[in-house]
Order: sequence, then C-alpha cells, then structure tokens
Amino acid sequence: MSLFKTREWWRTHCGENEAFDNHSLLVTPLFGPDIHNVIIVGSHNGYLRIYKPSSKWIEEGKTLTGYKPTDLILESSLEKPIIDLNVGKFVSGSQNLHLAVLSPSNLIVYNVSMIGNAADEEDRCVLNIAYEHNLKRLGATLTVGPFGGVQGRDFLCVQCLDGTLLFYEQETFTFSYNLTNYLLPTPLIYVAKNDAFVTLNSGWVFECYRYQHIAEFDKNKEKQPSELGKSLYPDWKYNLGEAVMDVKIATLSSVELAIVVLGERSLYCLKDDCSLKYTKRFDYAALCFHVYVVEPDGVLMVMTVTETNTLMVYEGTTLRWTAQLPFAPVAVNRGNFQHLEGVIVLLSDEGSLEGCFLGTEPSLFVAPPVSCTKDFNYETAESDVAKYRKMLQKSAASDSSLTNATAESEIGISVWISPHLEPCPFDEELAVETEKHSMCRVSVELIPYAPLRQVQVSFEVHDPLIVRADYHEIANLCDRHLAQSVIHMGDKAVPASLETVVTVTYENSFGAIRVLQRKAQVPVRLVAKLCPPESGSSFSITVKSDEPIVSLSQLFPEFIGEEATLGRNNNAIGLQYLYTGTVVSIASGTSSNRYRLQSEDSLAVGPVGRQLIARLNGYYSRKQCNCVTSQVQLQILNAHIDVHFASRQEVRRIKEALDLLATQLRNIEKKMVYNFKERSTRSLKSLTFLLDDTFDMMFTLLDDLKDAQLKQFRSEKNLERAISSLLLLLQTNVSDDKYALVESAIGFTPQLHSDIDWEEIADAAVSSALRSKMRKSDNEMLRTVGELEPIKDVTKLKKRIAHLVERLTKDTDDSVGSSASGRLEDVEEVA
Amino acid sequence: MDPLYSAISLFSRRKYEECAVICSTLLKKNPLDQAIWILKMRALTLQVYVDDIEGEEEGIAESILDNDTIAAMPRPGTSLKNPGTSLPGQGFRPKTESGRPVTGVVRPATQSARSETMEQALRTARTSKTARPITANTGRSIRLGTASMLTEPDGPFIQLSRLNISKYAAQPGIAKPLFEYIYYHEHDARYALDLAVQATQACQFKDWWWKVQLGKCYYALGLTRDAEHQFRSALKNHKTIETIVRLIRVYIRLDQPFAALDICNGGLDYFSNEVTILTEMARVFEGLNNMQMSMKYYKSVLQEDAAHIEAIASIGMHHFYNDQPETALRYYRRLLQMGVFNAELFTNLGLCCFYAQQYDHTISCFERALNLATEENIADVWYNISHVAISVGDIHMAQECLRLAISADNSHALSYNNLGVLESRNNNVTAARTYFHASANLASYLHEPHYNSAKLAYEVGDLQTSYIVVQRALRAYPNHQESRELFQRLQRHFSYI
Repeated sequence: MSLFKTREWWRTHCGENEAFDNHSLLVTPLFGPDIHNVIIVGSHNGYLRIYKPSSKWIEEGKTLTGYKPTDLILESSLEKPIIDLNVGKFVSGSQNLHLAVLSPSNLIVYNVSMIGNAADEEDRCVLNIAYEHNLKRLGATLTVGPFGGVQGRDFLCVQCLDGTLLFYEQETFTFSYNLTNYLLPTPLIYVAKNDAFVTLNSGWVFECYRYQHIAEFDKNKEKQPSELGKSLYPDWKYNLGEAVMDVKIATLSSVELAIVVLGERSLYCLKDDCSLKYTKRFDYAALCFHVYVVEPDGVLMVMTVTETNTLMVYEGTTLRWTAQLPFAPVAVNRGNFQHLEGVIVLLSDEGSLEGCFLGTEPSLFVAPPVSCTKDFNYETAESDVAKYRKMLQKSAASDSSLTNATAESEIGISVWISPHLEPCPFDEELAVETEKHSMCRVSVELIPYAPLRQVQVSFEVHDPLIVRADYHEIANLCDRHLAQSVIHMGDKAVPASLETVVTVTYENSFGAIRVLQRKAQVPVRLVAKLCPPESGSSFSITVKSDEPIVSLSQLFPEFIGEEATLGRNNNAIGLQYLYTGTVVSIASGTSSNRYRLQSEDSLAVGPVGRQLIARLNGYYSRKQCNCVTSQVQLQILNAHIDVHFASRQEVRRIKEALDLLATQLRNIEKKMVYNFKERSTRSLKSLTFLLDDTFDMMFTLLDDLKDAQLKQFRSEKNLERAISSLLLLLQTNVSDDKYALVESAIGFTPQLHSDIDWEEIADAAVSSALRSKMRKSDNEMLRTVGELEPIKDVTKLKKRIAHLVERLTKDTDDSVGSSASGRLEDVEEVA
Repeated sequence: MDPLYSAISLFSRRKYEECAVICSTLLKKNPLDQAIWILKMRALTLQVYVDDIEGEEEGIAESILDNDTIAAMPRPGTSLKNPGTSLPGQGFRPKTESGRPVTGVVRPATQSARSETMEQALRTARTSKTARPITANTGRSIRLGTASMLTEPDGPFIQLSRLNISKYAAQPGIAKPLFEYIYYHEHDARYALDLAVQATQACQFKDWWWKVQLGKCYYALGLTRDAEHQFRSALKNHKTIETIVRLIRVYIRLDQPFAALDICNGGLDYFSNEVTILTEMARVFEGLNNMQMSMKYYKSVLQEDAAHIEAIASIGMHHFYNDQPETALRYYRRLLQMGVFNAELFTNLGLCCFYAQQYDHTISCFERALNLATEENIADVWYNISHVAISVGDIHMAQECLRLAISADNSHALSYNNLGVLESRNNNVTAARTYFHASANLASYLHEPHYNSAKLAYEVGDLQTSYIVVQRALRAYPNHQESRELFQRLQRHFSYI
C-alpha cells in the first residue's frame, strides 16, 4: 500500500536456480574508496559475481541504457557454497582491499584485481587466492574489523554453527572462544570504537564482549585449565525480548555511533553504551533492512522492507518515504555508482538483482475497469426495469406474507420448560404407587411491541400428561407478561408424545384476531428413568444413520450422574417408564451406524424413538436418520384398529340393549300406572317384580357400558400411539409432502361424536388419498364424499392403509428391504 | 551444503514450511539436538503467528460474565460501553450492528457486541462481518490454532502433556522460544502460564520478559487484574512499547478508558510519537465519542506515518459526518491511490461525490462498489445507493435498493426502517408499522425505528402505543430532540385527560 513505486535504474538476473540470502549481497568500494562501488553477489551454489553498473540516461529523464553485459566484470565458480562475504585489508603488508569468502568448510581471501581497458571502457577482473584457512567446524557468519585497535589492517572472525568464534589475524589463526548461552547462529557485529563484539544470546539478550577480554580469557584458559568452564562475563547486557533478524552499525559522528537492530516485531536503535536511543514497533513483518547516514549532519536513515514488498524509509521513528518494490528482496543495500549516487540495490532469493531509485513522481494506483458495464445497454435495461416493476406491483398487491410478518412482529413469544423436576403435590394415589411422582414447570413469556387486547394462552399436552392451569387470559397486555403452569402425569400409561403445544390468540389494535403457536418438549425424565438394558425383547425397531454413532451419554445427557450405568462408553441403555414400568432398551451398533430400540410393549417404543431421532438430527443439525420399515408395525396398527373397533361395537351393542330395556321399562311403567287407575292390585305384584328385574338388568348394562367406554377410551389412546409410531417410521423414509399426506389422512384426533369416529373419517381420507395418488387428474379429486356412514367392517380400511403405506414407501426407496426384525405381538385387550 | 545451515537460511528468508521439513528430517537422525529442535519450534511458531494485540476480540462470555467492571452505571463519558452518553459531535454518526458508533476502519474489537444483557447479546444480528457470538476468548484462540494442527500429519510436534516444564524453565534459551511456541502455535494459555511461572521463578523475578508473558497468559485466561499487576511490574523493570500497549488493552477491557489514556500519556513520554500508542489513544477517544481528541491523535499519527490507512480512513469519515464531503473525498481518494481497492472504499467515495455534488462520479463509484462487493457487504452498498435514490427523488428505485439490501442481509435493521418510512409516505400504515417493528426488533439500540413507529402511532391516534414506544426511542438516544418533543406532547395530552 503505497503511493509511490521505485524506479528501475539497472536490472539483471544472477544465474539460474541459485539460492541467495541476506549474506549474499555486498555493495562496497572494492577498488579503492574514491572509485565507484561494485556489487558483489555470492550464491549458495558457489558462484561469485561482481557487477559494476554503468546505466545512464541517454536523454535526460527519458530512456536508460540499463544493464549491459559488460557490467558483469567477474563471474567465477568457487565450487563451494558462499555463505558470507566481506571486504577488508586482509593481506599483511598491503593496503589494498581484499575479498574474504566464507564457505562452510573454509575461509578464502582473494585478491581481486582489475584489468582496465580504457579504449573500450570495458573492465575485467581476475581472482587470485591470497590465502586460505580450513575450518575444523562448520562456519556460519564472518565478521571483520581492526580487532584490538590495529591500524591499517583488518582481522577476521568466523562464527561457527556450534557457537565457536575463530579469530584470525590475517594469515594466522590466533585463538578461539566458545560463546555461552548459544543455540543457533545470530548476528555478530564488531564495534570498532569500543573494540568490542556485540551479539544476541539464545535468551534474546544482547551481550557485549571486549576483544581484549576474550583474548585474555583464552590465554588464562591455557595457563590455568582448572578454571575451564568459567565463562566470560559480558561488558553490558540489554534484554531485548524478541528474536533478531539483523543487526547493523552506523557511525553518526566521530563520537557517536548507533547499533540498529531489526527485531521480528520492532526496530531498536541502541547507543554503544547499551542505552536505548529509540524504538519503533512495526505493524508489519519486516524482511530485511539497511542503515545509512546522510552527511553532513549525520542523520541516521533506516530502510526496511515489509513482507508486502514496500520499502519504508525512516528518519528516527518518522516515516519519510514509502515505495512499492517490484519483488520481495532478501537483502537490500545502497551504493554510489558511476552515473548515479544513492542507488538502492535489491537482491531476491532467486537472484533478481536490481538497482533502483525512489523518484518523486507518484505512480497512482489505477483501478481496473469494471468489466460488466462495457456492453451495457441502458435503454433496454430501462424497459426491462419498467416491466419488472409492473410485475412487482402485481405480486405485491396479492402478497399475503406481510400479514404473517406483522403477527410475528407484534408479539414475541418464548416458551421455556424447566428441565428441573419438582415433587408433584397433585394426584396422591399416583404418588403412592410411584416413588418419583414429579412435575415440571412451563412458562410462556409474552413481549408485546404495542398494546394488545384479549390475549389468551392455552397449553395442550398429550394424554396421560396433564397441564394444571392450561388457560390464561390477559385482558390488556402492555408490558412483558409471564404465564406459568405445571405439567405432570395423570394416569398410569405410556405417553403418546412429549410435545406441548402453546397457542396464543390475541386481538390486535385493528380488532383482528391472530393465532400463534409454539411447540416445546417435556423433559424425558418426567416420564422415564434410566435402568439396565434388557435384551431379547419381543418388539424392536432399527434406526439407521448416515453419520457416525453418537455416544448415548451425549444423546441423553440429562441422565448423566443419575445412575452409574450411563458411562462414557456404554453402547446400550434402558429407559423405564415411571408409571407403567415398561423398559425400552436402546443399543447403538459397534460396527455399523445403527441404533436398535426394543421393548416388550410395542407402543412404548414410539416416544423414545421419536426422541432419539430428534436428538440425532439435532446433533448433526440435519435430517439423516431413517428407520427400517417393517410390516410388523402395520400389523400392530391393524390389531389396534381391531381392538378399537371391537370396543366401539361393544359400546354400541350395550347402548342398543339399553335402548331396548328403556323401552321395556317405559312399557312396564305405563302398565303399572294403568293398573293403578284400574285399582287392580292383583297384577301389580308381578309388575313390581318385572320392574325390579328390568332395573337390575339396566344397572348391569350401565356398569358394562362404563367399562366398555373406558376400554374404548384406552383403545383409542393406544390406537393413537400405534398411529404415531407408524408415522414416525414413515416420516424418516418418505419425503415431507408425502408424509404430510399420510399424516392428514390418519394422524388426526377425532372429534367426539356418537357414530362417526376415527375409522370412518380415516376410511374416507385414505381412500381419497389413494385416489389422488393413483390418478393425477384433479377433477376426480373434487368428487364430494357423501354423508359418513358408520362402517361395519374394518378389513377394507386396513387394506387401504396398507396399500397407501406400501405405495408411498415403494416410491421412495428400494434399498431399504423389509427386514422384519420382530414377531407380531398379540394385542391383548386392555384391562 | 550443510542441511542445518540451509534450514537456518530458509528460516531467515521466511520459508518456514521448508525449514520445518528439513528440521524434521534432521530430528529423525538426531532427536536430541536442541538447536534443531528450537529452530523447528521457531519456524512453526512464526508460520502461524498472529499479532494477538490487534486480533483480540471480546466474546459474549467476557462481556457478560465479566466481574471486573467497577461501575455498573458509569458516569457519563467515562465508559466505553455506553458511548452515547458523552457529547456527540457536530454530525450524528450512525451505529454499527452491534450498537457502537461507526469507526473509520473495521477492527476486530469494533465488531464485538457490547451488550448490557445476555438477551441483547444473543439477539444481536450476526453476519460474518458483524458481532460474532464468540463464546469466550479461549475458545477463539483454539479455533485460530486449529489451522496449525491440520498441517502436521504426524501428530503434534511437541506433546505438551509430556513436556518436562520445570527442566526447560531453567534454560532461558529454550524456555523463551518454547513459551512462544505454546502460546502462539498451540494456543494453550494454561501450559504457557505454567512455563512462565516456573521460568520467572528460575530467574528470580528479574527478567521483565517473563512478567509480560505472565500478563499475556493471565489476560488470555480472563484474569485481567492479575495481568495488570504483571504488566505494571514489568514496566517498572523495563519500558517497552508492547508492554504499554498490553496494559492499555487491560484497561480497555476493564472499561477504564481514562486509566488507559494515562498509560498512553506515560508511554508517550518514553517513546515520543510512537504510532502504536497514538493509534490506541485515538481509538479510545473514538470509543468515548470524543471525536475532536480522536482526530487530534489520528492527525499526529499521520504526521509520524503518512501512510497509516486507519488514520486516513478515520479522518476522512470524521469530515464526512461533519458535512465536509469534499475534504473527506480527498482522504478517500488518497486511500484509493495507495491501492486500497474494495467495495467499502468505493461506497464511501460514491457518497462523498454525491454530497459534494459530483454526480457524474457517483454512479461509476457505486458501479465499482457493486462489482467488488462480497456477500457480506453488498447489503450496505445497496442501502447507501438507496440514499442517493431518495435524495434524487426516485422512490421506486430507493425501495428496490432497500429490498435488495434486505434480501442480501436479512437482518439489516436500517433498511427495514427506511422502507417503513417510504411506506408511510405512501400511506401504507400497516406495512410501515411492520417494517418499523421488524427494524426495532432487530436493533433495539437504534432510536430511529422507535421514533418513527411512535410518530406513526401518534398520527393514527394510538396514543398509548406512541407513548410506550417513544420512551424506547429516548432510552436508545436520550438527547433526540424530536422524540423529546413527542414525549412532552403526549405527556401534556395525558395530563389533560
């Protein structure tokens, strides 16, 4: 992100497939301080190149000559990786600058001499080895300088990979020193003013050692080997607290110098007495940097390169200039060349070498053109828009979605069923029989946005659950209101479903009645408890899942801690209904993604299965289960239909007998009254006998009726449960619209009516559903169903339901075979 | 060439992956080489290093279950959580979806929900770029770390549970990189804390670095007061910018902006003109809704670092909301010239051009904005285009733009509000009411939908609703003049009755 781009002045590429790093670039006046700088590049592949850039403008400010092949004045293969380069007066008796090249195994000092050819303006170099040191350890970095304050000579110091410093006084090896607290090679610099070495130890602390101290330490070590192991104490320390990428030194004036440190996150400028001059925290990661001093004021300038290839030039902590670089360099330097001074030299790790300058002309970022507007025809677009607007208006006029949205935004409803159970004070006789007779609280929070009138809240649960205070009415709802109630079991039976439906109706400010519904689940612990699983039960269903098995303790977390049986690795648990004692066992497959539910009571499986599937779908947040369908479920349903129908027939038969007896009674009474008028007491006695007898018969019948009605009620509930478990199986296997069809056909609650009950309505609904499935034409569907007659026989209905179910399941899947995994259970009459 | 040397060279060239591969092969040969072990550790750390100061974000757990806050009802202008209480500037800055005034740039912390109640925190609209329901900071840092776990095919490089922490704590050369590895790569603040505690004991509590790291761990674990203690102790030993910035963050977390500003001023005495500290100050003032001071510091940031994007964007936005679109335009153009190229910038440019009456540029700017927009910000682009449409009087187009905004972002409360206003102009009272309700439900911190709804109810004669709703508007923005007037009128009306 920068307004400017650097301007290319001279550019070339060093070699092919060679690697370079921070130590590979050196810009130095090799051929004397008054002659222009040369660029020395050494690659890891062992090639040494020296460039002398001669680029210049042909016309002022227009075109550049750029790179010429003659700029490369030396290219030589040293056959050893070049890992560091330096220049100094390394040859005794000579004041000329020599080139020292460090490779892992040796240190070679070369004499580079130029063979000038004045006529062609072509320079060439020759490389001669002055001397060579073989290293016993692997070298890492090279530091040079007039160690010990010598005049006119430069000594060499090699830092090895294992932390040994090897000191060479030109051609002779002098001594070595082992750095303490050392792990990996770090930048090592020589401060000539103090005759000291500065380095970073592995604990990220800067340490400074005087050359003299190191030398003396080495001598003492030879004299007194007993003191071996005692290390040198540093002159000063500075705790930097972060790893360092590079350290450079700059002389500001004769008395002042600066040690500039490029850390991973900050830049530090230290004085030679270990005090901090300034620091700057970067909001970017830096790649490399270079330090230079602008004469004559001795202003310290720092160039850093960010990882987004931006060159930042700082004076102190103030950013002076930024410019975008053409590539990511590994080393940056600055040099004065023949035709231009202060050229920034960049080297990338693949070997791109560029000399560039900053330039003051901004290269503004030009946004790329928008592609889609090129061939955009505004006239056709306008007519299109007009057309669409007309369509929009039409659809908006007939839009009804707004009214629902209105209803939702007028009132906020949240239903909350407490998972904590409390002892139930109602229905004491149930409480006596089961030790855990408990209830749970349900609360509905209503938050109206505007005042509402006649708000009614009603709760609805499935038998045998009971809601206390199932109806609330609020005449004027202005602020938040909480309607509370409790749910508990009212009978000893298996609940058909744990669902609670909360219906809220209200009248809004325009007088319109609105109805909203919310659903919630009653906690399982209200009706069931954990028990050891049972095996070998008569009835079972299998649930297949596409996803891996979920541990049962994750699926039923509310039972954790209640009993020790629900451990982490349990793959079978049992749930026992508190009020009937029926046990439903859930077992998860060890090798396949299946869950198996089994129980003695076919109807008890339904609610648990529903919970399991809902929880599995919730766990994977998508529908992915399907149940293995079997004919057994249908047979159970049929059996329950039979029982229900039989109980209805029984009730009807008793009612008819009662009718007959009532007629008989009326006739007897008439006769008695007649006989009274006649005052013939003769036959009265026999009539009294007859009357008593009829009364007796009627009372017996009434008792029978009561029993039969209870039986009918129970069989009705059982039928409901059987339907619900059939629907559960179907729901997982068929698509949603088909399921809705079946559910509307059989899964309804019949209204109280003497003659017309579930069988009649289901018969009509199923046959119409079958018709619509078979023939797709609509006119057939519209045929009105005549008056519903009480049916005599349920075999037709059973056949039709079987037909419908078969049709629906066949349409969807062929893979799920009917692997009947249970035998038909005889449905006993409910006592 | 020696493989260790090439690994070191690759490390210095930031080729951490290659470096780690070489280190792994070396470690197979010689598993006990500490230098290689450390090098691989450093390479893995830097590979996934994220500046945890800038990337910090406050989650629901922190903001709700926070027991460090001193005052539940702070005095006006002393809290960041209720920025509306201080004096607003000349113009009115809109609020973001989490209910804070819009800032110049989107930073992680500007997006988190600062809600007073759990309910509000949970209800705050969540798109990918707005208030994220981060459960807790620890969870977030683990999620940041999952990326690094995936890259290791042979399981984790270091089994933290098997690490002999007390052994390494005594060796500073190993302990420091190891700490960074645990903190930045494994994101396990607990182990890192363990190491830091033992290491700081090993160096007799003399190394300031370990104190800062202790503070970092405490902060990550939510123990802000302990973190404050450690940072302060570290600052006594040694002044660094990082410690100062971390201490500032502690005070921001504790909702003590003035303590944070004190630390900033103290830090500027040592590190004069440090951009990081100046930026923090500007942000704190911005959070306090004190735009003058915020601008002052953003300007001094720019003097120090003229390419600071956050400062340029913030100053540009300040000018825009103070009715100086021409000046704002210059700042945004500078950003474009610098190479910032996204939908947000073009939207801002378009709006500036429009209000500076350079209509010809407006359309092309918005075209580019739409072209560059992602799913996350296209709703805002359409919303802004609707403003242009409203201003030129094309109500149809405005409605369509607002509908497009809603279709892109279902919870764009401002669009619902404006649609409601347009509907009420067309005398569609029911539709207008619905939109206002939807908007108010989505963003209860906005006063506009409440006020509009109250006004509408007042006009149709439903005084009771109007009275209730206008109170909500005043709760969201106590100084809103129109709402106050309506409220007084209603009060007078009721007192006559």
